[in-house]
Amino acid sequence: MTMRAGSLVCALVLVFAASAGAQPRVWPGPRAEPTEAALADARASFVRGTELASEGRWADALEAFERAYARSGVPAALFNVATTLRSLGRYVEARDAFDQLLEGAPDDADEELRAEATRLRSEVAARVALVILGGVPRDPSAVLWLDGVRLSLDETRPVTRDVDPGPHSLRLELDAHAPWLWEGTIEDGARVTLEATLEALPETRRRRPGLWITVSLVVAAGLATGAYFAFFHDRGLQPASEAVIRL
Amino acid sequence: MTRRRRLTLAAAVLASLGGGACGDVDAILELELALPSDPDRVAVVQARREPVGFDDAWDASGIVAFPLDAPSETNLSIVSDGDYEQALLVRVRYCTSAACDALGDERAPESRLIVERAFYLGERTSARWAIPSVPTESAPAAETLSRCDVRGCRDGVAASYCRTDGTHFCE
Repeated sequence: MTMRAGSLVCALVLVFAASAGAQPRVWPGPRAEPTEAALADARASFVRGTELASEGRWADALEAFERAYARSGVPAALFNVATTLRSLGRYVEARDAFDQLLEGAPDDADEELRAEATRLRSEVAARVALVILGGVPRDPSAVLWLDGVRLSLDETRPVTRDVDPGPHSLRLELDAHAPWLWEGTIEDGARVTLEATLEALPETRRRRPGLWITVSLVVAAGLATGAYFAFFHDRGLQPASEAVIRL
Repeated sequence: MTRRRRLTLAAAVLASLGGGACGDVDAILELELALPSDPDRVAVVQARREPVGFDDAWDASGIVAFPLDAPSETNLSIVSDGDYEQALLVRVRYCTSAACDALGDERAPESRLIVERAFYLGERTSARWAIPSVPTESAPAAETLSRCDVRGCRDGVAASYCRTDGTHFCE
């Protein structure tokens, strides 16, 4: 196995070792061979991204590089996506972009680009932190939020997620339980183990027959009203297509 | 609030609003669109009523996007709640993003259609617009569809949907 192939294998092993608990992000390239117009647009976006990056406008530069890659599929554009994410401190995504580049680039891709991508991939991967959360029940009503974003939970426990270093928050919700909350700052490359503890609400707070009676009455009244309008009042026009424009 | 509770409350609210949510609309044009193929672009469709013109600025509301992977026939319902006698303006922009807001989309080529009269109170009408190829211009001349070419209020094949006095069967 050549050194280049070895680096790639190492990178792929790291992908599977480090992409904890979530699917890595994928940057789409063109669906077909890019047209001349698409390539011209990609070139313009690439140049624009480079200018923006030189001005320190990383978020704008990222958008330009992502567009350049989407239109052309050129590895250099994806490399710049990855390095821009690194400059933004979004190391998890930067690592995913480098992985996509190393995995997808043809063997005859620029050797220097590949070597630099491998080096930077190692650097950003070392900065990605890992959160290991125990105590999450395998219950369909369990809902876990990370930084305000709801996580998709599978059956794997403990729940693990790669995160960028910095401040984070977690919130776990479960029916008839008080929510569990955590806030803290996670250092570069840290491995943070947490245990969620959920306290059952008192019986009086859990069973609120008044609420359910009210909800049932509202539902029944709504259905009756809907049925009246649907069957007796008027069979009004409804759009025939799923695509609708309302003027 | 947990998912189950949110769903329950949402169901209650929707049910309580049942009459309104399922209520009537006043007039609908079912537009059959024959779109060309351009895998690098999406067709972004918008509609307005006169006195808005094609050269006026249209905000981003009421956008419907269709992929252009292959030549396709697609259907679009345009719903109106008033001003039925005003002409309907429809434009299809061929953009690189579904919101037509990517770099370069401001100069996207465009197809334009004017429907002389599309809507009649309480009626469903239909029309077909075939676009054979993606145009090159971003401000082309508009095609015009006569009121008598807008199908409605008469079943079966008709040479025209207007009476001999020029009034539409839906009038």
